Amino acid sequence: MVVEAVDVADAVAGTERGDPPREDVSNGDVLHPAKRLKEDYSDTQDRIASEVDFEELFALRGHGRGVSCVSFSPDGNLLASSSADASVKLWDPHKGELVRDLNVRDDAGELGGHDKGVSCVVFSPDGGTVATASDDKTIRTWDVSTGRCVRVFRGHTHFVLSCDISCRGNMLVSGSLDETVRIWEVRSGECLKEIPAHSDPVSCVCFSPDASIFVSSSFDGLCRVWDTETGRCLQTVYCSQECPPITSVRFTPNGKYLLMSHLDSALRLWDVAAGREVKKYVGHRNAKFSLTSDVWTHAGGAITSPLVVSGSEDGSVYLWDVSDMRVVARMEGRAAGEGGKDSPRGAQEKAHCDVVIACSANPKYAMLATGALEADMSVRVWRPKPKLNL
Amino acid sequence: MDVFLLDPGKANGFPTVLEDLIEAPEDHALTCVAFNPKGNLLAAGTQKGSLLIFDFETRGLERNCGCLHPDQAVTSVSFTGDGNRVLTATGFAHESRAPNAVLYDLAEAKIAVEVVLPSPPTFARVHPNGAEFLACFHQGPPVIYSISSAPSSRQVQASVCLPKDKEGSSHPPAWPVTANYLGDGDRVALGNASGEVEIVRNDLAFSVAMRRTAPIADSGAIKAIVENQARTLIALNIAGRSQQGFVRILQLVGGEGEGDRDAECASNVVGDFHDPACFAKGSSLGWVAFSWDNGHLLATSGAESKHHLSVWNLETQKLSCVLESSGLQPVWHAAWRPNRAALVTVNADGNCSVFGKKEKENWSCFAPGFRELEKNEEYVEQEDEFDASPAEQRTPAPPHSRDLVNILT
Repeated sequence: MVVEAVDVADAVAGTERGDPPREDVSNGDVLHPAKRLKEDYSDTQDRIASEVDFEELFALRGHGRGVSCVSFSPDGNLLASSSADASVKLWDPHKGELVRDLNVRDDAGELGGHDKGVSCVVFSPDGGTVATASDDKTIRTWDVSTGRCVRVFRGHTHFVLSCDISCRGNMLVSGSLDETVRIWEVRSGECLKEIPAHSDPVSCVCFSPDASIFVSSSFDGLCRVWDTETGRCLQTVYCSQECPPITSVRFTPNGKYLLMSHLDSALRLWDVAAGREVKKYVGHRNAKFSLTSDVWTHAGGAITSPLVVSGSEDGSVYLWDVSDMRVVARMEGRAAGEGGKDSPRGAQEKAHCDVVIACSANPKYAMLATGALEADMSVRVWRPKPKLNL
Repeated sequence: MDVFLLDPGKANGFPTVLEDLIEAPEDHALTCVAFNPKGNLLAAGTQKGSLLIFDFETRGLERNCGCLHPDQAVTSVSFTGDGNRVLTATGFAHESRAPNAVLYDLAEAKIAVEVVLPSPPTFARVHPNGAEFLACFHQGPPVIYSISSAPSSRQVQASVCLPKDKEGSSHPPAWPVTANYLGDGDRVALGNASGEVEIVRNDLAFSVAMRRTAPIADSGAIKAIVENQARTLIALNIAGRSQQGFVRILQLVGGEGEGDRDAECASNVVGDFHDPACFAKGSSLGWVAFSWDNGHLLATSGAESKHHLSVWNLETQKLSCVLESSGLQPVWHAAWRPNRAALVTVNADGNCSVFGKKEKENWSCFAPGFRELEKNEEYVEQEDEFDASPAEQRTPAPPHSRDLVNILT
């Protein structure tokens, strides 16, 4: 589900949603912090002198509606993308070719496929399985080599927004609009635990590197860290007084920090052991959509330190240095409706032309993937521009 | 483990509540269990000679490794230090089959080595490095079997296995002799039926690391020897003679250190722990273990009819708690989960019970900024604390520092 501020209210009320409304939300609650931020960080635009150039490798097209999630396989040789039109596609990110369509009705096998939009797609650690979370209230696992559905995880009573697979591939955690988090056994599809985790939809879930704990984020503005074994809450992350909704959370590779995307146009890095916010990344726009962020450790080239990656509602992709919080690069795009209205849906453009909602960093190669909403519908693969040898 | 970042006390303490039951699959009554070093897999031997691997995180059956000992119950199961291989052995004789020990490779899903033993072993344990295993028998000294390139075996040479000279006449050795690896497997502790203990180094000559102790007064055979996680104490499970059975804890002193690796060490008795449930003469406790945090000693009761676990605090040497559950069958075997305060027992009906620590629900985790109090406290508020506009403005949050953060390691 492409989550918008207005959508959530509808969805919570139980109404099934048609096309997402394209009008801007005038509800000041959500937009206000962003406006204020703009004043605080008015010099941000000046600071964006891209230190590193990126080029677009491929624009992958095929989804019939907005892209909801992109994800690289652990070996970096496959890219999965999901869309609001219920399609899930596997791509070769090196060649820019479609490898396989998952969730094609006739090919999905006996268990069938999702019949509503897919919000999240993740690989298992061995790369042989893909898990998808959908608005049809189920999670499904798929065999990457055959494209068939392996298991259906039924139990959530509302749209499932996010899922993640543990490091050993034995457990799956999911977060849903029904405000619960569930832990499942991957092999059997059995629900091991149901945790009433939040008082608002759970937007994102993520296992720590060794899967002994996991984190859930919610539109109630909190992240909670849980003990996987007992289902006990270990910490509540609570960044600012306003508690802007959190749309994405993930552990850093060492499991010691959390990277969170807040709907006040900021990303924050949280020190789990110390229980405090250590970094804040601003400059992009995120006040309405459920954007995701990622940590990029293999940017390569001139970039030696890890980066934080996020899309933006202005159609751009932003990269920050983890430690000094400066914008290192920006792949410029444009927001939907801004100029070129008659251009046929972002065709042949060398940048996104709608909200960049999804991003994923390749864990092995210097490569980044992004996905954008309805006016664009493309998945784009980026890499740092090789330096010219003069 | 990421969880220790937020809950450092997770591994400490001892189990107090029955948490879960692992039900054996049909036709697979379990007989013994062992955890892998990480504690996420549980290997279980069955009545019919199969090896099953359970995923302890989900409590589901991960793999059925097939029947390694046809029609013989598995009585010993142990993991190598890297957790990749499992050794199983059967202690029951079978008319048509030679007793054997099997080393199963989990990564390759096949039998790595199968060794035929002269008689059914009472105990078998694989060396942490996976290159050899130790087997004890009803008669004769323990034997170390090499399972690397060239299979070979050597008997453990120790004075507890030798015949005794008493008043000029020679008595046969006090069989059975039990043995176990200590530490990284560089030493072997042995105990015999007359209550003598000895530790030898695991080298070619089996040089003595701790000289044979005098027989323990008024006791029967030493049934088992177990070392604690910190490798500071060893527990001897001793059968009683004119009294009930008990566990004796020894502390090894001297020996290694100060550059003299060949020095012999001595032992101090830390304490004796008696079965609180069974007072019969000549009884013995069942299975003995130290808690993972080394603070507690745990033993299953020798009483046959009950599911009964005793936990002693090693510091106070007092009984901390007795876990009894009348609905469960008697305990056959048990295993302590590495890194956790959790225990798995194998019951006589072939199912496993999982005992865990009662986790205290920490309510302040749900609402940061609140503190949990043991009891009500009188709160003295500050003059302006609940005023509409406090006199002192809240100090704004400090700006984020640009210090280096390491998110990788």
